[in-house]
Amino acid sequence: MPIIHDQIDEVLAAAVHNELTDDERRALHVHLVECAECRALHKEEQLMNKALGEVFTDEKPDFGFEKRMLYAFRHKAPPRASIAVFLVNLMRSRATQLAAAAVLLLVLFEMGRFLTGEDMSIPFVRESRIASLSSSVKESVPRDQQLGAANATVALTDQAKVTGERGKESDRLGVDNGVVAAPASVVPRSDIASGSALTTGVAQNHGVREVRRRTKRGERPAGCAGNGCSPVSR
Amino acid sequence: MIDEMDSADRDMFRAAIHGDREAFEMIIRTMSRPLFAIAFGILQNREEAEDVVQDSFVKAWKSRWRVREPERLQGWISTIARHRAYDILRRRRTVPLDEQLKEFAAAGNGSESPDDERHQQVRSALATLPELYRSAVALRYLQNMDYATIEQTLGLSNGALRGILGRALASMRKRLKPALAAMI
Repeated sequence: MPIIHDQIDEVLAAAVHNELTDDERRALHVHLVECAECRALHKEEQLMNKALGEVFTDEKPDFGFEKRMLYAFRHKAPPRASIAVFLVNLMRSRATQLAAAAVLLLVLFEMGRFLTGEDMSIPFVRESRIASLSSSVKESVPRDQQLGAANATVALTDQAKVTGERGKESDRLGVDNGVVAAPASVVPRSDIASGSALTTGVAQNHGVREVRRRTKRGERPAGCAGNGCSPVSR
Repeated sequence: MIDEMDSADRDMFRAAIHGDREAFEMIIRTMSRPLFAIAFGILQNREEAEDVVQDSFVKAWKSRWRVREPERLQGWISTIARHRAYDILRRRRTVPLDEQLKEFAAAGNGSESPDDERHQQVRSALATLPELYRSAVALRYLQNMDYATIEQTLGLSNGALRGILGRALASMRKRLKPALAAMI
C-alpha cells in the first residue's frame, strides 16, 4: 500500500475524524497491519486527537453567545431609515393609499379641464369662486374707493325710492341728472369682477345725492334747463 | 462543497446581500459559533475572539455589496474574521504567542495538574501552526464540524481540508511527541 504510506498524515487525520470512505478504511487497516511505523503514528494520532478534544471542550461559547452577537450587531450597525424604505412603509397604510387615489383623481380632473377648456366645476363651487373673486377685488381697491362703493350701495337702495318718486319729482322739477344706477341684480358679473360697477356706483352716488340735495332746497339740478332736460332712463 | 448548498440557504444569502436585515441576522445566528471557532483558533483568547466575531459581522454588513455570488458569502465572512483575528494577533506579536502562553502558564500558582500542563503544551503547539490551519483545527474540535462544512465555512475547494488537517496534526504530533508518550 505505497499510496497510503505516502499520504499517511492525511489518511490518519481523516481516520481519527471519521472522514474515510469504507474502501479507504479497509486499505488503511491492511497497511497498518503491515507497517509498524504507520501503526505507531496512528497511535500518536489518536492521542493527539484526544488531547485536542480536551483542550477545546472548555472553550465552547456559552448559550447566550448568539444573543450577544446579535445585540452587538444591532448596536454597532443600526438600521438606517432610507427614503425608499420610508415611502414603501408609508404606502402600506390604508389612509395613504386613499389620499393618493384622491390626489390622482383630482389631477386627472384638472388635466381634463385644462385640455378641454371647459369649466366643469359644479355650480356651488362656481358661485363660491365668484364670491371669493369679488371679495379679492374689493381688497385690491383703495380704501376711499371702498367707502365710495359702500355709499354706492346705499345709493342703489335709495335709488329705488328716487325712481319711485321720480315721476313726481321729474314732473315737479322737470329735470334729471340723466344717471340712474341699475339695480345690483342686473350688473354684469364681468363688471363686478373688474370693479367697474363699483366705480359707476360712485358716480351715480354723487349724482343722486346732488339731485336730492337740490330737490330739498327747491333748486333745479345742474344741467337742467327747464323742460329741455333729458328724460330719465329706466 | 459550494454546489451542495441548499436553495434555502442560497436565498437567505442572496437576501442578505441585497440588504435584508432579517436574513443577515439569521446568518449571524448560524455563523456566530463557527466564526468564534475560527477567531479563537487564531487568537486563543475568548474575549478577543468575541470582538472579532462582532467586528466581522458589522464589516460584512457594511460591505456586503462586494459579494456577487451568494454561495461565497459564508466563506467571505470567514475570511473577514480570519483577517481581523490575524490583525489583532499581529498587533500583539511583539512577543511570540507560544511564549505568551508559557508566561501565562508560569504566572499560575505552580500547582497545575499534568492534564493542565499537557493542555498548555497543546495550545503552544497549536500556536505554531499557520492561521488557516488553526482555524480549521478549531472548527473541527470546537464545533465538531465535518470536513464538508468546514470547507464551506472557510471557502476552501473540495478536498483541500484533508491535506490541511493532515499536515496540522502531523506538525503538532511531532512537537508533542514526549507529551503524547506520557499519555500512554
